[in-house]
Amino acid sequence: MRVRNIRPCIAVPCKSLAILLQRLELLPERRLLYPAREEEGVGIAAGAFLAGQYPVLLCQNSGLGNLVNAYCSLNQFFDIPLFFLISFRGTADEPVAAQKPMGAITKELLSLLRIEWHVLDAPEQAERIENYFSDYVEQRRSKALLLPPSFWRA
Amino acid sequence: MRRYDVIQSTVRLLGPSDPIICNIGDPCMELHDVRDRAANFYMLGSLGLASSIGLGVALGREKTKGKIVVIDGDGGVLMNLGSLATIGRYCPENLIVVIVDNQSYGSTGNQSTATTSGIDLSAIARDSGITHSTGVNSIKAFEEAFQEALTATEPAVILARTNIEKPKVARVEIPGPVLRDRFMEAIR
Ligand SMILES: [Mg+2]
Repeated sequence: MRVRNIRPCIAVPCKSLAILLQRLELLPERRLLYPAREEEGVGIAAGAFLAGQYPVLLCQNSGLGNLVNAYCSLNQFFDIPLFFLISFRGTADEPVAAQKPMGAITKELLSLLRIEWHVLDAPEQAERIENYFSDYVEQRRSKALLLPPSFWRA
Repeated sequence: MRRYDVIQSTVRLLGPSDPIICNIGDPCMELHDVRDRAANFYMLGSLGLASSIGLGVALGREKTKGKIVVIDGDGGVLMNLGSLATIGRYCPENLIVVIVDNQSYGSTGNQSTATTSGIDLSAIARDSGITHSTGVNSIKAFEEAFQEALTATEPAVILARTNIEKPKVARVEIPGPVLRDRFMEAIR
């Protein structure tokens, strides 16, 4: 997260995101905001974009289900892009059974929402985040980076 | 007091480039009828998110550029009550949320909302940390409260208790990306 103009960072926590969020809390220039749920975060992010900023939404893939209508009727309708960093739970090595169903449809759901997505499945791939973020800013198109447990293994 | 009167007063008391984020449905149509301004963001979908969009604009825009006004409804606020807590927490001094409470889902056939049981959304706002929060029953009281909110150095909520009357006005037919571009340009 060294990228210069990522701001604000809007986050609904996930255990996997905890260390990253802890760091973001110490960086006032990132303007970390915690909404009560994901679709509220989509609204705040849209407002930030309208004010000229390039926000990022951090959440768990379970939260993707909470923001479907907001993304369609706000982001798609007005052509407002959003950059997602998504903790990808419910993959093969998931210990929590309830995460599995949402994990199984996450990629298809993103495709259905016409959001370009990429899986970053190793810690070294963190350096790609910067490029994807630049693409989001330049192309003004939504991107989602899926971060499974293997990404967080340091 | 009708919602149309509240919207009329709001537009009259604001400058031409002061952003208004407006709730979906009849409120958008009425705002468009009162005055179609580039700084109007007609939220034509995403019921519940008007105050969240307003919060995002308010935190992202320089404070010196003036107030951001959200026109929300009782149904919209009830759908996203967490938003009041988030606004109270981050406390943007340049945000005014007008909640038009007609105790009904007015755009979908006047089904009753939870505020019919006496729930005071301005009290919920106050307990959420938005201390500058008030309820009004007349257009005169609304204008006074709005003037006060314009000079306040903290976020404000004004709950305007209105009837369900609505004039016949046209739908907003402007494409989303056009609304986006002209809004962004107007509030820069
Ligand atoms: Mg209503």
